[in-house]
Amino acid sequence: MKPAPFAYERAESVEHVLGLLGEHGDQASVLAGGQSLVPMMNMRQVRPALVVDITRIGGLGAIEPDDGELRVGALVTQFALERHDGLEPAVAECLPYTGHYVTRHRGTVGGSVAHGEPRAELPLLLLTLGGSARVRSVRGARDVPAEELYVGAYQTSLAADELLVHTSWPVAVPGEGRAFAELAQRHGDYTLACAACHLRIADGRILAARVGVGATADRPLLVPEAARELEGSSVGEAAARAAGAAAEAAIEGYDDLHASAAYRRRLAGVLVARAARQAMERARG
Amino acid sequence: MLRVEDEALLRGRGRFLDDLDPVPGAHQAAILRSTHAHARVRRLDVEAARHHPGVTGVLTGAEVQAASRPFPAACDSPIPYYAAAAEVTRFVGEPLAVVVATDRYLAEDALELIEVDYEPLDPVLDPHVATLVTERDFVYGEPDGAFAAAAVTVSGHFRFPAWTGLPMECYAVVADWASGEDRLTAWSNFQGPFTLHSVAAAALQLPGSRLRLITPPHSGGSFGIKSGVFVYVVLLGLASRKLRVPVRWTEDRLEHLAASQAATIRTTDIAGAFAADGELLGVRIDAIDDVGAYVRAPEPATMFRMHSALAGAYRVRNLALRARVVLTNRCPSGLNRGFGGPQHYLPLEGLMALAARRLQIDPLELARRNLVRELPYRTPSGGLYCTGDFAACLDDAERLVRYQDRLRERDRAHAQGRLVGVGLACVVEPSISNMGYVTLVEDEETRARSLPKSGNAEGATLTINPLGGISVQVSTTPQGQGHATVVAQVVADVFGVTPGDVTVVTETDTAQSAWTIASGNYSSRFSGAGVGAVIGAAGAVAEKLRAIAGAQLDADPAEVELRDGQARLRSDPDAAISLRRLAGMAHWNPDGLPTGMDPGLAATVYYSAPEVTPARDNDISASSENGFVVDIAVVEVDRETGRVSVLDYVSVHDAGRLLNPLLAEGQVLGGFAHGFGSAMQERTAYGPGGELLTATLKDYLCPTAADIPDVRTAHRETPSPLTPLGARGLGEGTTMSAPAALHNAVLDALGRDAPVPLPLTPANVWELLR
Repeated sequence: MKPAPFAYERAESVEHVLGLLGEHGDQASVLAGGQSLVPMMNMRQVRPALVVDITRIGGLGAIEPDDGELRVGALVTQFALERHDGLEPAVAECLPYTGHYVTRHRGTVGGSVAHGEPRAELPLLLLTLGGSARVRSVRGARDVPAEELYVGAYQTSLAADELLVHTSWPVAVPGEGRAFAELAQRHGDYTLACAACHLRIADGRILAARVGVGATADRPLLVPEAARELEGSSVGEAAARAAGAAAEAAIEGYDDLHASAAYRRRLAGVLVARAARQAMERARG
Repeated sequence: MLRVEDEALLRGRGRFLDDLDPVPGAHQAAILRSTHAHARVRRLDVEAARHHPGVTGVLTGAEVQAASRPFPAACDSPIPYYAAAAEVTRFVGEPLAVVVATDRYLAEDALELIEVDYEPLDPVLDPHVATLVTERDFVYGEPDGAFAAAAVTVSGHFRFPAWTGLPMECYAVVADWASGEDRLTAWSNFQGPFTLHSVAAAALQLPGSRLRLITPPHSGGSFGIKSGVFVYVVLLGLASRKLRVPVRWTEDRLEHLAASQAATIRTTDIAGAFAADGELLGVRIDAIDDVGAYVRAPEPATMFRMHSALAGAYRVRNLALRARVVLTNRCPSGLNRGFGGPQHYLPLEGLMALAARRLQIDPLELARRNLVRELPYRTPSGGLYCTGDFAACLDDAERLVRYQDRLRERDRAHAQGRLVGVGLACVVEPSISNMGYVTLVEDEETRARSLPKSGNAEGATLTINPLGGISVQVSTTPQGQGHATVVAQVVADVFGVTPGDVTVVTETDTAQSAWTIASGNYSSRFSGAGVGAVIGAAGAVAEKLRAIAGAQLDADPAEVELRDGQARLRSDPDAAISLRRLAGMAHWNPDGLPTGMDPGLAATVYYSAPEVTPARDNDISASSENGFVVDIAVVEVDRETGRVSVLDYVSVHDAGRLLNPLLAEGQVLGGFAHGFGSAMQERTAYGPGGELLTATLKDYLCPTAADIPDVRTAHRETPSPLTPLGARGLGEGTTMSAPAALHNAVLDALGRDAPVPLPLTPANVWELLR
């Protein structure tokens, strides 16, 4: 379990990274926490010709409020975010499912979002909350909404020369509630399915909702069918159940060693209902 | 007493084989492994690999087969087993060639340059259509009569899933072939020498004295799995011989999951004949053991390890067993904690749970009516349950779990629509295996022609140096169990010193250690056989010290006691000589020793357990001792997701006298973790084409500390009259009982009248709820 030969560059600055990515494109891989990249290299599942180590770059490690959003630098570790004061409850309940306590000390938020593992928790939550990623290249900078980020398993819409520099997580305002729910076979495992719900209520009615599910397809998915069941409904158990049933009917799921597609559909439905219940609870304040 | 091993381990100063450099300048090996479950190898072209920079050379499977003999096993197999495949490969991960290079990176680069042309063949994974290696029928009493007389007959089909042991440290070998003298020295984290040193020597066509096997000071766990490293001792030994360099290989996790060693997969059809009052009149077992692609020694032993406990803890004497062993295109099986016990008790205890439902008798009550009552008890198939009180253990477990409260809570939960269940397992736990039990695979005539076998002996050497320091060398090859702690304890007691005064060497060296065909770490044999040898050696040297002291103090040696680092007279504690002085006298002045005494303050003593004899007809005492375990599990099944949560779990043991309660607790909890994993999550899975689906730890789900529920334990210490200190083994019992107890609890929660397939994953359980 040793990697194929590769070259290594320790980047000094974002500009240095962008230059290397501009030059080497898809022959280069960015090393941040390395909790996915390094095992994949060791198993020779990926063979980058050049590894660009960004861990010593300053300026990518901040967590700061930014106009109604929480801006999380690419190098912020999952553990640092987990311990961040006043963290949104949905993010707080999602992070303990992200890998293991040990891997979260090195694994980064930016790395998880950019890696595009279809069962990963942070991409699903970013998608459901309507967040975005800021990417840069020698050609310039742009913000990519989470809806446009994932195109397949381990595939994002980022160009080969682009570097994710931070993610932006919309902060809940009064009347909004978000929640995350998951079932994994073991603590820290890839999930069998996970779900997130984001909604806004007023006067006991749900005005707007977003529902997402993970580990049911090659990327995290929004489930508008489930959101529609919530929107316009009274806050309560009936709405949560209807959202779960709608999600179960809308998604396909897939078979693998650990569960059938039918199980994944049902589980996703159950978790959507659980997340919706919790989100309503939080929205009521 | 705390473990003496922990200081080094907790400070990161453990010395595992990969940390050691026993032969400077060893080259590194990487192994080319089959990507097919069953294929003809039409061409294997290693030329490009051989010429890759840094590559020392390549050893092919064909060269392995030309230079070695097939590994012997207890039964003939239609397919010879070598350390590497040549013309046909029979499981994913089977070695095809070894590349040796100056480092492992270059070796793995070169592996990719080997061209293999496979012609895929149909893989066989279904044991019912697989190649039959052996079939034997055993009948005790009159099972036909029992079934004819039964008021109720209960039956079930059980499959114990494929799983493994998953030590933290994988296999490691450093092999150094001395070419001029045809001698192989191999350092390996093996758990023997056991029978497998002889198996490896036979394959290499070496007299045993020319295969020197040395184990490192520390081992990162085994759970039985490390016994399979002998295959690589041969493979890397042949690579060292061909390439004339010492060769090092440390297995990685991908290799380990694919190709180290599986636990035996058993499929069982079981039936029980019951009287209306619940008396178990007869049991019929039809068992098929899938041992994988080859019969790897000590297989087919899994089938017979529990043979003297065929009816477990129950009095029933009418038994029938049809035992078949088959080959499939999976990784070969071998030792794994519990070895045959989990596979045996899932159907037997599952049958009792099904019968309790059918007869509408409480499971504890049904067990109580059938438990062996008076010990010693000779089982129908030849085992001896020597001492203990099975019913009292059941009572202890009932009290500990607050059984009646649990039943009320279960019924209340059911009324609320929640699925709570309670499950029982009663298990006889054998310890100190009889090497002869595997001969049951032969019919009586064949067996009569071969050497009678009852091997179980262990050896130890104790030495006192000129300054009075005590050293003990054992051959029990611990893999984390804490043998050094217990040896220090018991030796300290013999000599009246503190455990800190005793140095224990647990590295085994077949050229230096006192060992036998049975030496090693398996079948929970340490507390009886291992300690037996240590006590014997300590006793012999202590007797000598007392004799010398008696002569010096002008007293009868029987009057001398060893206490507080001195030899002194019981009648006059002031008449004393320090241990240090006595040792100095023995070393410096042999001439002054009592008349007739041999010089030297050392003894090597071997210990062989009682009640271990060769098989007679179809009877065998497969183990010297048998302990007893009662587990009760309380679980809840999430109706929505199928997830099983353990609400409470108790485990009550009678393992005789506990030599060290801390280690005993560790063994019970570790045994539980292993059994819990096999019941709940773990499985080695192959696709329809024999492709390995659990190739990484992302898919092979071994429970972690965060997933394992609390277990409450209790002990009833009935001393064993068969072992020197009254101890029985207890390292495997909970691995045997936990799958059955958890299965029975889920059965109860779901209210099912047929077995629940393992593992009890959320998706599997949910299928039953649909």
